[in-house]
Amino acid sequence: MNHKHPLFFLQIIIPIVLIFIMLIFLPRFSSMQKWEGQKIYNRHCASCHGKEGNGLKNLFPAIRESSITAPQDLVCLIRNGRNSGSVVAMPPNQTINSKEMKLLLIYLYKEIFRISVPNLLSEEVEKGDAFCNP
Amino acid sequence: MPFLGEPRLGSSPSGHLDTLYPVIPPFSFTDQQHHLINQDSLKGKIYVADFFFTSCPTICPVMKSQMLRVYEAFISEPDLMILSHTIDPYHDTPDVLSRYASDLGVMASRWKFLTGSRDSIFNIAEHYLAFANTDESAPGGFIHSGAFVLIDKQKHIRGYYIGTQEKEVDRLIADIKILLYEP
Repeated sequence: MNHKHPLFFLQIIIPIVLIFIMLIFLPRFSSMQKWEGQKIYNRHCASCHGKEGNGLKNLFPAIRESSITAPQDLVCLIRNGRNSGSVVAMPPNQTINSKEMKLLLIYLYKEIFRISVPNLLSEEVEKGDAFCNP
Repeated sequence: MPFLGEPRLGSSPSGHLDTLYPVIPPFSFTDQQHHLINQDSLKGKIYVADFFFTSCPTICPVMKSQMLRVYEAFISEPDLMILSHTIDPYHDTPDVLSRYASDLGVMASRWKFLTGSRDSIFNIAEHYLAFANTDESAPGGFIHSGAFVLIDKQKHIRGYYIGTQEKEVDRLIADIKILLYEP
């Protein structure tokens, strides 16, 4: 006869409980991250580029279909602003810290550009900051 | 619709003692086409006034996207005008305002972007119950009210709306429809 250890059932129960805990907390973590990113986006970007990233006519560019998507380029653009010859220039922003910058970029990728978040984002943001703020 | 502002006792046009509500005093500004705009340019029209500056990084873009809704709602109504006064006349010359208006895609015949001496703009802002001033600590260097102010044909203030809030601007659009019917 196959003799089982009395605590054999724990081998099944413990992983199941762990999976449940992960299922409960993972979405919360990611929605909190989204909420934080959205707050930063709304505070610094949405008044010109719009809550959905659609911009306003020819005055403020739509960023939904942005051609600039590399993390370092985005960090530089946000830090230094941009004067593309339009009547309104994008102002530089040095007040966002690098943790907020990462949350903002995640929000931009997921909710505005709707593309996948690049790998090693934290490192890319740091590189961008080092490169743009000599 | 109500009359806004602090009333005073005075004699009415018929000579009786009456409660008189404030009117916007005569003004003279330059629009985005370098034309002179004064109270005579608005004869028989009602209008919405606001204060902004083109390099404003905070509330102005939202105000402009909301004012664009007003503009579009009354695009075929020549008796409604919009007057946006810049509070940064050193930077916002008629040419800058002209580019701003054309990037926004609006007609100068209906939406005037006005500039003039800073004192005259700050002064007229008070008559519209909207404040505007310089403030070095504010982003962009100015503080100003985000109000949209509705003015009738006799230059009385008839409505006051928060220009950054969609619901307030819905109320403005509804009020304009009513005010257009007043003589």
